[in-house]
Amino acid sequence: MRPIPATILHIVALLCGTLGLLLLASGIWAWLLAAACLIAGIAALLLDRRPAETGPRHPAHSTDISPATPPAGQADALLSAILPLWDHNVSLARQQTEQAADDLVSRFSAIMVRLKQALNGDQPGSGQVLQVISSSDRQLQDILAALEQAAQERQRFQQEITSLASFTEELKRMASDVAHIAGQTNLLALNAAIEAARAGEAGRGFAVVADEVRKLSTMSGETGKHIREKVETVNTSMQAMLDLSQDFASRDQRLISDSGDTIRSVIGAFEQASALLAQDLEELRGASQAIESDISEVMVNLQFQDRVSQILSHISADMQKLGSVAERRQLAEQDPQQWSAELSRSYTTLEQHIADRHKSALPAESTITFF
Amino acid sequence: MAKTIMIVDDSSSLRTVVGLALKGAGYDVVEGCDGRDALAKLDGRKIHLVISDVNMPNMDGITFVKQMKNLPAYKFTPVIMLTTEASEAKKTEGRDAGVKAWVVKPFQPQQMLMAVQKLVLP
Repeated sequence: MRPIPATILHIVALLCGTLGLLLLASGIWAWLLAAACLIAGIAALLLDRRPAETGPRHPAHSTDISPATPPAGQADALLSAILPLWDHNVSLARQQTEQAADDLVSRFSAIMVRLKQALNGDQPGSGQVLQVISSSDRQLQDILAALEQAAQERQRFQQEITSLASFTEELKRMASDVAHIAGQTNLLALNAAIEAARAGEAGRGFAVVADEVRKLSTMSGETGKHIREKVETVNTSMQAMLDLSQDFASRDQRLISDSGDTIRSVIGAFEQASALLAQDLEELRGASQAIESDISEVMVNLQFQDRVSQILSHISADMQKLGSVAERRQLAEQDPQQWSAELSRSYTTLEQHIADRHKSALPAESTITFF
Repeated sequence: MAKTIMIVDDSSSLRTVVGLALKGAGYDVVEGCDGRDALAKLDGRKIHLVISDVNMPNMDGITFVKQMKNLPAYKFTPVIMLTTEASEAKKTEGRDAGVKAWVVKPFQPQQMLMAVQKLVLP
C-alpha cells in the first residue's frame, strides 16, 4: 500500500487539531492553544518542505522525504486551497465570539441599569409603603395628642363645676343668715310692739311701725327660706351634673386610655412592619449590590473578546500571507525563523508574547503607565 | 455639571463596559467606534478626557491622538490609551504623540477610574 505523504498527514493533523480545539474552546486560553497548534503545525510543515535545512534536526522525518512525498507544487496547491477555508472559519469564529460578547455585555448592562434604578429607589413600591407607614404614624400620634388635650379640657370643666358647687354652700349659709336676721328682726319688732303698748296712746304710732317691721321680717324670713330652697335645688342639680360629669369624664378617660392603647398598638405594629420592611429592603439592597458587583466583574471578564479578536486577526492575516505565498508556489523559499519572527512582531497582547516564549500563558494583570 | 469623556474603541462591548464604569462615577460619555469616527465628533464640544484603543480599523489610536492634538480646542485634552498593546515601543510612540497614561487590557474599572480622576481636566 502506498504510504500517505508526510505533508498531507501534517496538514490533516494540523487541520483536525486546530478545528477540534477551536470547537472545544470555551475560553481565551483554549483559543490561544488552538492558535498556537495551528502556527506550530504550519511551521512544522514549512520545516518539512525544507529537508536540506531541517533534516539534521529532524532525522526521523528524513525517511518521509521519499519518492512518495508529493512534489513542492502539490503542497503549495493544497495550502492555497485550504488556507482560505481556514481563514474563513477563523473569521467566522471571531465574528460569532464578538457578536455573542456584544450581546452579553448589552444584556448585562441593561440588568445593571435596572439594578441601579432599584437601588436608588426610583421605582415605586416599598419606599412608598414606608412613607405611608411613617405618615400614618404621625397622624395617629396627632389624634392621640388631640384626645389627651380633650381629656384635659374636660377635667378643667369638671373643676369649674366643683368650684361652682362650693358657692352653693355659701349661698345656703347666706340664706340661713337672712332667716336668722329676719327672726331677730321679728323678735325686735315684737319687743317694740310690747313697748309701744306699754307707752299707751303715745306709743300707738310706734306700734304701727313695729307691726310693719314684724311683717317685713316675716317676709324676709320667707324670702330667706325660698332662697335656701332654691339653693338646695340648684345644689342638687349641680351635684347631679357633677356626678354626671364625673361619670362622663371617667368614661371619656377610659375611652381615651383605650384609644391611646389601640393607637399605640397600631403604631407599634406599623413601626415593627416598617422596621421589617426596611430590613428587607436593606437585605435586598445588599443582594442587589452583590449582584451588581458580580455582573460588573463578568463584564470586565468579557474583555477577553477584544483580545481574542485581535489574536485571531493576527492568525488570519498570517494565514492569508501563507496562502499568498503558497499561491505563488514560493513555500519552499520561506525561512521558518524569519516567518516566526515576523509573526511575533505582529503580536499585541502580552499573552501572545508569553505564549511565544513557551511560558505559561496566564492572563496579564492590568497595568497603568503614566507619562 | 458632569464632565464629558470620549471613549474610542472598535469593540462595542468594551465601549459599553468602560461607559458603564464612567457613568457610574458621574461622567457623561461620548463614543467613537474608531479614530475617524471620533475625530468627526470633535466638533468643538467640551471633552475633558479621551480614552482610546490603539488598534482600530479606519484610523488607529495613535494617529487619532496626533490629529486630535492638531485641533486647537483639543490640544490640551488628556488622553489615556486603553489597549492590549503592551510593548514598550508602542508606549513610547503613544507618549511621543501626547498620551498621558497607558492602560493595558484587561483593565479593572477601579484602576481606570483612578487614572481618569488623576488626569481629567478641571
